[in-house]
Amino acid sequence: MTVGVTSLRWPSDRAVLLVHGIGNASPGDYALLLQGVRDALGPDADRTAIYQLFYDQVNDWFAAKTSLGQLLSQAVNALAGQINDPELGPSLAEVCGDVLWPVLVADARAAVREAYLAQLKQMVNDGVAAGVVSRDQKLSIICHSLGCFHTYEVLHHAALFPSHQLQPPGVRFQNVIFMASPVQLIRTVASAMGSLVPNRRWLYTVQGDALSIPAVQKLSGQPVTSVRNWISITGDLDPVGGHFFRSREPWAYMDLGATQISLIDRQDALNISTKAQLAQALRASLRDREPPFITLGNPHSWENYVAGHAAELRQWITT
Amino acid sequence: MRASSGRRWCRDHGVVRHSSPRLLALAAALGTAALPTGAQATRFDTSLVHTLTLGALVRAAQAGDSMAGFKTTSPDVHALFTRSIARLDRPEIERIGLELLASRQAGLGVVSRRQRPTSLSAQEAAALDTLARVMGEELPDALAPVISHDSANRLLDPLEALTFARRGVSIAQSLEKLRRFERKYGPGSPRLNVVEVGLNFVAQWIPAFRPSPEGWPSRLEVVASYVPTYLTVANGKARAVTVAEFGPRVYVWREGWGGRRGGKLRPGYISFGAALAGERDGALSSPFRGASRFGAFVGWGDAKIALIGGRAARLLVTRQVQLVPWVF
Repeated sequence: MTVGVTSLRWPSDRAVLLVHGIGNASPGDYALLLQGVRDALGPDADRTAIYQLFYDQVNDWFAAKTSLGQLLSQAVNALAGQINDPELGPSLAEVCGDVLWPVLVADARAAVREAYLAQLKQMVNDGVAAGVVSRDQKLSIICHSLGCFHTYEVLHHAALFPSHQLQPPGVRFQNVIFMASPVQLIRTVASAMGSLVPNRRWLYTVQGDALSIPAVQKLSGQPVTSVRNWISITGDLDPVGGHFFRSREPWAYMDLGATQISLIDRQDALNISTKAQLAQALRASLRDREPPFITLGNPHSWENYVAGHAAELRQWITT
Repeated sequence: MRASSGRRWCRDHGVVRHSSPRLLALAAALGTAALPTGAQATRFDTSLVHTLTLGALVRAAQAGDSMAGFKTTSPDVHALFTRSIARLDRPEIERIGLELLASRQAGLGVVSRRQRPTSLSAQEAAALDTLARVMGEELPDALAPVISHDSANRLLDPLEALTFARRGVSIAQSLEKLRRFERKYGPGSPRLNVVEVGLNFVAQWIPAFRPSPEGWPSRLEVVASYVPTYLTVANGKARAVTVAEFGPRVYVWREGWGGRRGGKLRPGYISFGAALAGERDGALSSPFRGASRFGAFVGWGDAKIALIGGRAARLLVTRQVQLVPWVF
């Protein structure tokens, strides 16, 4: 089945794109998450075009053709070396290892990026077709886990290549909301892997002195960013979001300083009070040769992040 | 095109301006009518994509440059406008539709000989890119204190039309890239063995084997196979021959090739390279045993033919198939 794009009719000047993390998602999945976002938006949900990006089909092409087990083990080992905790280290490394594999295959990165770009362009053109010029569109992205990495890569690529017609100020995202972002974690591990990372020049996550909001310089010299509100939400028990048992690790937590709105949830409601309990909760999500299955009791649950920040989501997206 | 085109654009589009005396005077000079305050915002009409021309874009740029007053407030920006517009001042290109322009600049779009417009030269294409960029980057903010938001949008309609068309072309290009990735990695693609997985991983450091900066996949893949399924006829008997193959696989991106549409005659990939067989024929034997026989193979889709030399020269045929996953 060929990869396509979703086209929606815009009921107003506003659209949201949901970008999931690792999983075996296909159109129709993530119904609970979609309902969570609709609930968060309340009456404004009907005035918002809500898109979902499904790219697991593309991942499957590469998983079927390229056996990355050995290389992925190296990546996980590199990560385990960073986590200085004998009790949690192996479990955390295994969970985080799932978000590292795109680093290893340049074609996989490029293909997912292209699927993502195609959907973004379609979303913007749907808005124009509804009569809302691109400059007036209120665009938001909510991404989770590995979806945050792809979002970071796509926004930087779109800012660099005018051919996609997604450069600011013509197209500027009102909000990009990263939930449990592994971008800094991937940056650290990819840096540790050094020359084992293929096509490193076009891996935006490792470029520059630090992570940054994509921007272009206008002909007049003035810089303009692709995103107005760059928001990071994670939990203090979520290792993918850079927290190892309530401890924030600078090498794993995505921090863009003052340019980022940062929210870190206390995940007390999950009743995880020991490292052993956390390791068990994380291991419970792992499945042999399949993407992890994240339940509501898992600190990495996307649905929990959305439900826990419903009021803020509504405020960011609808104003 | 240059003379009074800004005035013509404003007259045609009813552009308004706010109450600055200088701008009101300009408005009067341009003969425009003011929209009532709070008038309902005009929505962009995508049919403009089919009707607006390069001439309309240039006139809008001239009007915008004039209204924003760049000549005095930002001479550098004004110079960019002036230079770009001057390079697009050829009467033959004024009537080129923006939609057609977007397709042709991207090298896409099927255009009949009768429809085919005069093409832009490289200089004109570059000038158009600069003009579109400076309009998009500088005009919205500069016009904000001068004319209403709605009027600014109407002034910039030709730019929005061009961008919409270009973005549509860009979507098609993205989907074409994905079609190519699917051909190379999708369900119908040749499976790799572990050696090929390793070699193709290493090949990512060779520019010809990795995706382009724009995201187009490389058409090349390394073939390094142990193939025990070649067949030949020797002394009137059919025999199996084991061959080691090494060479490139080249994917064919052309429309109509590959998949069910392409069938056997127009496959999605071809391969060629060196072939090596052992001293004796036989299935599941080592190609390195005894005095190896050297030759070449050519694959046309999943059909492959090989010729090996030496004392027992053979013409071999087989089909691309992986009997044991990740092995051969």
